[in-house]
Amino acid sequence: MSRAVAPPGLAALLAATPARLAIGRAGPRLRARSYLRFLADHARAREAVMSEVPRSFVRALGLVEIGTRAATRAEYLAIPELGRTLAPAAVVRLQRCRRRPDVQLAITDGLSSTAVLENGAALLSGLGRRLRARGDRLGTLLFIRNGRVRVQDEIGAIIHPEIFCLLVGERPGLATAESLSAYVIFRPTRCSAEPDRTVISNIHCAGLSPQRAVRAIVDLIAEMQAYGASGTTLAEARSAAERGRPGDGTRNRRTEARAADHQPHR
Amino acid sequence: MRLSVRLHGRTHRFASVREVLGRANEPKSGDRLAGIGARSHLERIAAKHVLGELTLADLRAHPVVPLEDDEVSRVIDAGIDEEVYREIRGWSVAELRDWLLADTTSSNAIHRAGRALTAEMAAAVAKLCSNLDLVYGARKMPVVTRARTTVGLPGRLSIRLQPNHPADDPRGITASIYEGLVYGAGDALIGINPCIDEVQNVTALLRLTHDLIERWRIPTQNCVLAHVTTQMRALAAGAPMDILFQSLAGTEAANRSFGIDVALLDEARAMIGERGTLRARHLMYFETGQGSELSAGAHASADQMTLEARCYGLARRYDPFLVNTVVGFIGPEYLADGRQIVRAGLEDHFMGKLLGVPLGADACYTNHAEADQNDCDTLATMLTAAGCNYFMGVPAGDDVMLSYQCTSYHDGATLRQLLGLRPAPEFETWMVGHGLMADGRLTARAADPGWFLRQS
Repeated sequence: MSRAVAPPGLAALLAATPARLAIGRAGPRLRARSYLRFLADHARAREAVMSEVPRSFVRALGLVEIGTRAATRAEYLAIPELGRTLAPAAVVRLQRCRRRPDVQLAITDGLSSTAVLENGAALLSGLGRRLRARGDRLGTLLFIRNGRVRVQDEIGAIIHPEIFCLLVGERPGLATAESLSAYVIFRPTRCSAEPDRTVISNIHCAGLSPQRAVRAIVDLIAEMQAYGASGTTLAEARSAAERGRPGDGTRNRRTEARAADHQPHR
Repeated sequence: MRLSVRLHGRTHRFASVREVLGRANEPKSGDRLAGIGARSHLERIAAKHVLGELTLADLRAHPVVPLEDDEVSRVIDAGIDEEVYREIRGWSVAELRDWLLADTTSSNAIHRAGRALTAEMAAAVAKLCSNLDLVYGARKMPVVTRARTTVGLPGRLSIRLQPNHPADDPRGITASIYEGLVYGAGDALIGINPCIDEVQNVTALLRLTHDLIERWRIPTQNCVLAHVTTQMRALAAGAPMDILFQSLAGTEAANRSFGIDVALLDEARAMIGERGTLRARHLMYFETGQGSELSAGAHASADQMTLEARCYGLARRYDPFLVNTVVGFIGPEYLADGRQIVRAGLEDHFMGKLLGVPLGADACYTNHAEADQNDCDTLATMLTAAGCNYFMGVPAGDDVMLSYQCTSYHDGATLRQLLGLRPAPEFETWMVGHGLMADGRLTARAADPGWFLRQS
């Protein structure tokens, strides 16, 4: 199908979005090339959800691996509670890990193994380096297989870290399967709830790059240490300090919608 | 009221109406997760038999959440047309089903009966329907609403243009709107899911869409799907808003987890009437989806399909312009695969229409569900045959902000041309006037987003 020459200005508009635009049509349907591109991106996203992080990768990063009660990816997807609870062997293993660190770092596959494989190494090494340089005492580095966000609370109740930063693979879209979120919490307990966490999301090369994410997370940790708080309590303390009066209960953004354990409101 | 049945030599007993409703559901991962779905196929069918013999009065007397515990139950019960209810209260669910499908029952008669139905009754009758029953039955229940465009007329299919952007970039959003319009999408709404739920950003997006609609004199309406409280603050600050949005759930407790209650929604409805740009009867837009109550830990041991019907019962109070289920979005722990998503989509549309609510659908799936675009095609085609008011329109079906897939601009055009349907009449006139559509089909000039830039 022939089309008129693109008018000036169109290219600039199209360049401002990753959406699949100006792709023409075959009758009213997608053209073969657009259709095949779409299928390829969906296949990549499915792969990210269903595949496993290899043990060799975990070992190469020097992480201690622990598991949740979800034994398989299928179980993990079907029954969210399993991914929020540690396997008995994991509880035993955690007993031998470093207690009461200043900062506990951990990473879990969540809904994207690909995200862990692509960005996990850069994030963990960058965070480790910067935090140690600040004089923070780090806990044993953990990889949690088939984990969801709230597994942070059970681990926290055993390790008792001052700050716990958990990196979680986000539900992949067609644009990227490599995105992670950082869930950071001050003194997690079994009674912690979602508003107690502060989230930095969309961490991948085409979003918030791992290098910038490391800086953002370290700044956030420093702020949590200064205020002794995280989540909405931190947001309130921060705005109170800025305005010199009590906080107004700042609402969390909804950018966490893609994260593994977040209820996607629309 | 009889809660047991003998089937193939075995007696099946159920403890309550709520349990019967749960066990009678078609298989859904969410009901299994909640431990309230049938434990065997035979038990499911036994529950359907029991349900078929319950009367409408039995169901009204046993809402899945008691009136004293839940304002959603109270809103629905108080909204019942008592005069019509007295005529049909003795009907069994099976009788209601056959009456709905009968050749002698008109659309007007169904519309009148719907005013006497609670959500539990609508859910019960849908549980006695096959997929084709749900399609055929819903087709008899048109619900028409009107703002700048008229949506839901028989012979018409509308599209909500959903030009989302991962950073709310105005140029990127404009590009998506241009492309959607030249495919004939946007007659239901131009509705953006904002990435940043803040007053300033929401106001900017409302201005962007408002100015675009004014400049091109497009018969449609704008909406930015932020939290209702953010939209109210934007309205108070003078943002140009046509339609006000909120997500709904089917229990008071689940709505509280969304940060809303009936008092807040009442206030929002009054505010859009006074401060919105439109002087129309239909000004609200709601989204729902099976499983949201369970995911909020607020399902009150009721099944997700009945709870979904309760969302429509609540929506009815506000005389909304648009309501749609986001059927595959809530996740595979509630609807595991394409088969469950298709079934739930057909149920939701049928139940909503029966309750007199203008149902559209976001036929969609996430990448952690066992589903793909073929399932989305199947559901959208069946729902179009069922007379669904509208679908979403997203570039190539890939939402780059919400990271899920649904119907594309192409799909909207295809479904219309396949089944001989037109856009909303006001919008069709606009398309035809610009040479983008003729005889209900896209012209050679259509489908090129550069068209807008050439006009200026």
